[in-house]
Amino acid sequence: MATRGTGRGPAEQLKGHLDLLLLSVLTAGPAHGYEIIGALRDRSDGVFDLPEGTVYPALHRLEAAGLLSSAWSEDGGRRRRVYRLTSSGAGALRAERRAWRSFSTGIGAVIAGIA
Amino acid sequence: MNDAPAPDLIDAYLDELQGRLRGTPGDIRRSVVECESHLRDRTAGFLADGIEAETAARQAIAAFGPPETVAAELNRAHRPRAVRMLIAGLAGQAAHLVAVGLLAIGASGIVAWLLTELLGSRTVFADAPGTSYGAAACAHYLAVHPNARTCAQAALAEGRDDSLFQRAAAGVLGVLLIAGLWWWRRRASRRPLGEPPALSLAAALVGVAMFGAVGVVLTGYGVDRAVVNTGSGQWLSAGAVAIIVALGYASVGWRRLLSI
Repeated sequence: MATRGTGRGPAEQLKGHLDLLLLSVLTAGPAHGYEIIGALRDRSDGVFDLPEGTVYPALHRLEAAGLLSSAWSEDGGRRRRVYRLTSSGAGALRAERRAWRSFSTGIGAVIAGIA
Repeated sequence: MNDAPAPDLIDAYLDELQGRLRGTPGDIRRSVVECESHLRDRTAGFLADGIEAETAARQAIAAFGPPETVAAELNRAHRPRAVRMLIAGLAGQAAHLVAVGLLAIGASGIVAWLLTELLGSRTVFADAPGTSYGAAACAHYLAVHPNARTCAQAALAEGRDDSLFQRAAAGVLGVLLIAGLWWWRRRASRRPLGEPPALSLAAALVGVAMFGAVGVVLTGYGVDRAVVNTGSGQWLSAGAVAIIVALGYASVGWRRLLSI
């Protein structure tokens, strides 16, 4: 029998977990969008190389939900919106991490048996 | 030879993106500034790697994603705030119409009072000839207006005073409501909330239709009352003010239409 993939690349798989990843990146401290995307790419060794423009809507959504706050900063003549984790965001991140660990442990146990 | 500068690819991308964005003016401006900052940073990164300028801009744009995809996701993220803005705008316009209506009633009271001073109470407030009043009503009117010689005179004075008082009260309520709206809008303008021009235009059209219809009906009724020798000034004063307000809304609507 031929082996077929799911057809979903890393970027597509990443979408469902983007909030968790963005909140995680911001635990290191406040950062603007470009830095956040760079950190995401670097920390994943280039695996999470999603369309960069789709990160900003996610940041705006997280801010509207109260999980992030943001403010303008001027740097090298360019205005940048700097995001930081709120206390609600830190709480949501802890809950998301617990859920992810439980999920990945379950998945790992299943696929380990198949491999 | 064409000396025109080459179009900036990032500017062209941002123009297309901005054209597709929906939401509050603040959300749109912020999104465009953030995207531009990102694209310029990314291009600078490619340039530092030794990539030629136009290729660097193309690669930065390719990495950012198609403008329709980015705009669709930004619009989805901003939709709740845009909906809140629309609801607040509708409520504000409705309250403004009510306030203008109350002020118009107050203004019609001033006009009715002036007509009373100039032409007398009968021309403005008199009931139809032959109107009869019950004994209890007469007793009440005469008790409130002891200087009246007949029940009809007392009823006329009572009708005039009640009408002028009610119109003045409506005018005061209108002033309070307008002041409240002014305070609310000043407060809202500190937040990134705007108001779609189409909403102001729609409110102006509603104002024209509403006050125009009321003005025509009241004026027509006033003329009809004048024909049967009944106090018509109370209706004509209200009808004239309503028509003036409708014309005011028409002027506002025209200006809004030109500004869209």
